[in-house]
Amino acid sequence: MNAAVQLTEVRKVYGTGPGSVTALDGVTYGFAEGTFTAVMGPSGSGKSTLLHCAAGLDAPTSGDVHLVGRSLRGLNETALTELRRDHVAFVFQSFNLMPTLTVRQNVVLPLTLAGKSPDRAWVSEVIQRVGLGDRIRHRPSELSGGQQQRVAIARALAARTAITFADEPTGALDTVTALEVLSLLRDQSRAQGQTIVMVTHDPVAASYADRVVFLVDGRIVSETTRPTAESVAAQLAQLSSRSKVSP
Amino acid sequence: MIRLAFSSLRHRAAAFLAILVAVTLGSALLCAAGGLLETGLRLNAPPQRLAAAPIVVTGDPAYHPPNGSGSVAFPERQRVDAALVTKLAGTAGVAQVIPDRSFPAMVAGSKDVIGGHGWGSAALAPYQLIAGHAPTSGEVVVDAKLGPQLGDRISVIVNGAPQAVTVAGVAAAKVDLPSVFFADADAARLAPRGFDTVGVFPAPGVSPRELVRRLELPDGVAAYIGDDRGVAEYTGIATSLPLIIMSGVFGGMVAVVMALVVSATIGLSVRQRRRELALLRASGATPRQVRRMVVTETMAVGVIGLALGLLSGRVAGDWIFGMLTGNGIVPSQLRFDQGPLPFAGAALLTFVVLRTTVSFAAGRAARIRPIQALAEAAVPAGVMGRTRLIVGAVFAIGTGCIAVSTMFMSPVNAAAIGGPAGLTGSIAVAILGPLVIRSALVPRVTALLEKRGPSGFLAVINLRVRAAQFTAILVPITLASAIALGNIYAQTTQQKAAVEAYTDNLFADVVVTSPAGVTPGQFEELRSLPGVTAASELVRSKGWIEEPYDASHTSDPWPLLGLSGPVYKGKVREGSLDDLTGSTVALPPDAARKLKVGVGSELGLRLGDNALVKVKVVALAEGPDGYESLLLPSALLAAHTTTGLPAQVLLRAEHPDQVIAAAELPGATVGGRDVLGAGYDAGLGIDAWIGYLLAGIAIAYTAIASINTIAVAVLDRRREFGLQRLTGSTRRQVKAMLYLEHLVIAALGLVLGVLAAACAVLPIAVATRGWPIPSGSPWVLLGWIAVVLLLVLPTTAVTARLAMRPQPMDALSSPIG
Repeated sequence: MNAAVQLTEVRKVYGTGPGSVTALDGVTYGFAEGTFTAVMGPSGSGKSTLLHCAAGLDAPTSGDVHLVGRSLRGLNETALTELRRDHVAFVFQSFNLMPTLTVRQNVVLPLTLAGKSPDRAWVSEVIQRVGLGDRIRHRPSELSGGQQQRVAIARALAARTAITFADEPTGALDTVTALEVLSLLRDQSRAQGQTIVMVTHDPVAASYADRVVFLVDGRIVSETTRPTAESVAAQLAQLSSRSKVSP
Repeated sequence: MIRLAFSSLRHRAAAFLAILVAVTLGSALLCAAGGLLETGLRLNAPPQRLAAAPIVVTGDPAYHPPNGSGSVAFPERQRVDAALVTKLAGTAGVAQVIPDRSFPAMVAGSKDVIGGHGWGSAALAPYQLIAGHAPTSGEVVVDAKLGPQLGDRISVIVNGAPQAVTVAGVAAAKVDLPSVFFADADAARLAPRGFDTVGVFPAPGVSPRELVRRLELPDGVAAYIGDDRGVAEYTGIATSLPLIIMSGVFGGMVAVVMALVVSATIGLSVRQRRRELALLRASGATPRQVRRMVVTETMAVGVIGLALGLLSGRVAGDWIFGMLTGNGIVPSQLRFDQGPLPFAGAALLTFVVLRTTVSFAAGRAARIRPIQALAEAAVPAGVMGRTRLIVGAVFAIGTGCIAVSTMFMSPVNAAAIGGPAGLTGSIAVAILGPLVIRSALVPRVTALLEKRGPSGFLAVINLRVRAAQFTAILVPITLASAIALGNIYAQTTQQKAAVEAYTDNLFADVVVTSPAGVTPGQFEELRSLPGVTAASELVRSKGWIEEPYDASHTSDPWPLLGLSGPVYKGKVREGSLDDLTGSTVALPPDAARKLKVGVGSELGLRLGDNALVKVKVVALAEGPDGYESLLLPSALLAAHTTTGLPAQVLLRAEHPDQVIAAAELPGATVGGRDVLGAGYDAGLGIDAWIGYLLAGIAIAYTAIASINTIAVAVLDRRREFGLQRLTGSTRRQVKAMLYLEHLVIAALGLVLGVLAAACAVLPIAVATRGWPIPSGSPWVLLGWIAVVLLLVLPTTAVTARLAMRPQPMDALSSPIG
């Protein structure tokens, strides 16, 4: 199987000199096509940075990133944007929505920007499935934090891109909606063959994925397939204690 | 993309309001400037008193320097030879010629000087008799507007002498300025020097244009048809240069100010929406798309503003032109021409300025990286690019250079070149803004602020960190202060310098002013009044030195001073002013040196009425630096002026009050020395008006720009205030912090504006008065400070209240931007 997203010896260092922070310390990993992967680790382990570099939102200090077989090295902003637009959807932790647009307009925004016409039926279905069918014409200021997050997820799904990155997508959601969203994501990867990379700290959310990757201090330390909530929780606890000891 | 642009417009109306108002005002004023330019180029003044004659022949109203560059209006009226009248009458195709002679006359009891003519020229208007009959010797026909009735015996002062006449008739015509008509023989006696104008009526079937081609006219005399005839009737419209210069300077400054305001506003708006624009980029918008969106939004608003401005362009033009005619800068009979061209030009210029400014701001927007959407803290990078530093330094140094070089220029040039110093200084501030703000936070200042408690601490930190945002407020205040103060004080300084130069050079304890002229007999009367130690007539005019050719005073003629007594204060280096009689002249020593002439040389002077006279140099007399005059005998100079007689008499006396009480002359006013400078038209008319108009624009623009930027900047910090209140600040403490921040910016803007203005004004003071102290009321400065504070503080108060209206928690969770 090809890797939809391939990272090779990716390092990301912020700042210079004594005050510099190494967020990623030589990560090599391939996210296979059609898989649903959860990225977990203690806080400060570099999870969000990994996502940003993998999605082409941030340039690594060294190392290489390949998306759908194409290298991101040396691409200018416009080329990078076009690559992302066609193949990548991103759900941020917060501040996902354009405040001046309605829910519907936000959901189809990436498609509008790419100049593609949206599949109306699919868009409506997606909005329904995240539970915002009655809020289509509302603006972000009229929605709660959790509802805003759901719009962002709907946007990622509506685009039906090859790859979706999600940074703590269920963080602000209630249990029922969270599970609904997670099954949506799983369906997308199983039925549609989308590659989904999700950062989470919630073992229950991780259990919906095909595999879980554990990140500590900017390095991938272990990997599990066919995760369950209990096994994931146990591994996390182990990691946390270990990272306390490491220099 | 377009839809996105419009949706963001709808939700950010406030931010774009400033751009709308700035562009509307700017384009309306550019239309007005364009109208002035067109008027200056066309110079259409439809004749009134000469309206009936299709062709008007008169002396060329403009002097063309022999080296051929440009033309200057003659200060005095020229005469037309009587022989020419006969020749014109005899030309084929001419049905009739009516010569006209004009002389100043005053109806006793009124203060206005009107035109006196022979009855023959009444047909040129044409005047229609509505009562009575044509005048015979000793009679007059008056314009109905003047008042006297049929049969009244009135006194009309001509050449200083009252003429007792009976009103034989009353006539009316469509003219603004009334006239009084004497019998032709009387008129010839009162104004023996000849005709001013000849009205030519073509025979039936002959077109005026064709006839003009056939007329053989001597040098210095020209024929006019249509609306150009106004040149013969009104003075002061012979050349277009003042109007053209004014429209250029005015239009240019309006364009620059508009560009600065728009760029500051868009810059602020882009900076605020950084996160939103970054999100757009993360959602898949390419840099080009983001750029296009910013450009579309702003151009949409700009185009609306442009349309509104064009619609108000006529109103703006009429208003400004009205101010010019109302204050005598241009004659009111000059028709204000504002055809389609000024509007087209204004639209084009506004569009170009807008588009260029927007491009720069949009460029910045396009460079936003998607990762910035994720940054929690909305604080921009503090480092300024190298290019920006260099460009800013160039402007700052340039300002200094202009300031220094202006000090060494002549007064006229100093005024023209010094003005831009204020502008370049402001641009330097705009470019180096954040750096300037941070450098202003010296320990002294910060200590002062921190004494005010936690609000002070926070204010200092905010100023330092958000220097880029505060620049948007600093720029309009600096710019407006520089323009307003610079222009006003430059004008007052120059006025003072010109008046001083005029009066400091003459001894005068008593001044007698008679607009209709002082006859030699009346002069002798005044001279022999008890207590008078010395007396002199005073004639003022302008002229050129043609032999040898003096290139130093061509478009700007030499001031000529006619004297007949020992009242000149300037030091005489060679020769003696006692010899100033007959056909003689006294020069400033520097001019004599440059022309390589000395006492005893002969010069050819072109006087104000186009006459060339030969004069002998009898003295070299110094005058005030930059305001030197040529001295001539008053009898010689007066003969070549419009009135023909001196208008003032200066008397020296031990006890001026006694003399003032004793002196009496029909139609004249007698005053002390202060009268000498009071009525002096410093000749700065147009420049002063540009100055005051620009100060007015500056105030308007500051108001718009600073209110808008303060409001937008404060409202944007809603979340920050919410956080502050949650961590323990009261509303009042937050407001105190805001007041301190904005006071610092206002004070900094004022200081920088005054500095920039000083770069313009102090050199002018040095160039015109000799030392770097400008003159003018200190109230102007104080008033300006009050205006700035009145704009900044209430705006801060109102927007702070609006920003803190929601509960802190709600403010925290509101989406940013």
